[in-house]
Amino acid sequence: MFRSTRSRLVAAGAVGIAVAVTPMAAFAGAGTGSVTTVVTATTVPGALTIAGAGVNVGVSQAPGSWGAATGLNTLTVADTTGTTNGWAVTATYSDPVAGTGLGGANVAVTSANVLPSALGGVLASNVSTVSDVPLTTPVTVLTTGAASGAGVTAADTTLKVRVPQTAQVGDVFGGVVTYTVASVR
Amino acid sequence: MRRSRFRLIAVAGACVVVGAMPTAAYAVGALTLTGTGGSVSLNSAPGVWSGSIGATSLTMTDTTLTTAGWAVTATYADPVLPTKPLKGANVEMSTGAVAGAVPAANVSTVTDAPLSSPVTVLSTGANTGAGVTTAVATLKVRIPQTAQTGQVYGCVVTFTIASVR
Repeated sequence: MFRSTRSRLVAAGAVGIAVAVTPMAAFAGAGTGSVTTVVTATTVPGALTIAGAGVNVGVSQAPGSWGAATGLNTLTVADTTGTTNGWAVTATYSDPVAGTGLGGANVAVTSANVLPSALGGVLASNVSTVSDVPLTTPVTVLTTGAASGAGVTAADTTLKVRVPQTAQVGDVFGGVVTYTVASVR
Repeated sequence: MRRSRFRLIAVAGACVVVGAMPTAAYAVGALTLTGTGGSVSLNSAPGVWSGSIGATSLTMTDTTLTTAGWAVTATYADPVLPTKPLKGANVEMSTGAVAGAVPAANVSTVTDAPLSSPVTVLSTGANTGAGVTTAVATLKVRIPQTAQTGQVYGCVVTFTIASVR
C-alpha cells in the first residue's frame, strides 16, 4: 500500500513536470501592432507624346497600280497633360534622302485598330480614322477631336503605294512617312 | 495511510498550480510591429511612376520564446475622401535594409510589388524570427494616366505582422 502511494506520488509529480515543460510554441499567436503610411499625390502636367517602332519596307510591283497594305505601324499616343484637350496624329509624306520620290499622290494611308490602354485611354468610338487617303498633303490620320485624349491609346496605320505609271522596269522609288501628334483644343 | 493520501493530494495540487501558472511566469513576450509610419506628399505627372518615397522604418520584435517565424504584410486602403484613390495597382512596395536579430539572409524582401492585394513584404519563412529585427519599406506611386492637373490622389498603406509556424 505504501509503495503504491509512493508510485502515485511519483506519477503525479511527473505529470506536473510534463505540463510545466510543455513547449512555449503552444503560446505563439498572431502579432500585434501596425504601422501606417499615408500618401498624398497631386497631379501636375505631363506631356503629349507619340511613340512607335517605325518600319522599313520594300515592295516590287508594276507601274500604275496600287499595292497591298504595307508598312504596318503601331502608334502609341500618351496624353498625360492633365487636361481634357484632345489630340490629332498627322501623317506627312516626304521624298527619300536618296533616289526618286514616289510623290504623295502615290502613297495612301489608312488607320485602324484603336485600342485604349487597360489603365485608361480613349475609346475607339471617340477616335476618327481614315482609309486610303493620299498623302498629297499632310493627313490627320487619327484624332479625338474635341473629346478628351487623356491616357494612353494605341492604333495601327498602314500604307499603300503606287509606282508611277511611267516608270521603267528596275526603277526604284521611295518615300518617307512621318507621324506626329498635336493637341486639339 | 491518511498522511500518504494528504501528500498525494498536496503533490497533485502543486502540479495543478504549476500547470496553471500564467505564461508570464515564463517571461513569454509578444510578437509586435512598430515603426515611424507617417505621411508623404508629392507632385507627379499622370502615368509616371514616382521615385521611392515614404521610407518607413519597421521594427519586428519577437519575444514569444518560440522558433516560429514572422511575416509582415502591407495592405492598401483608399484614402479619406475627397482625396481620390490611387488603387493598389498604382502603388508598389519595396523592402530592404534588414538588420538586427534575424540575419538579412533569412528574411525575404520584395521589390516594386504592386499592392493590388495584400503583399508579404518581409518574411523569415520557416526560420526563427526571435529577437528584434529592423527593416525599411518604401513606396512608389503612379497617378492614373487619365488624371487631370490639380487632382489629388492618395492611399493608406498599413503594415501588420503575423506569426509563421
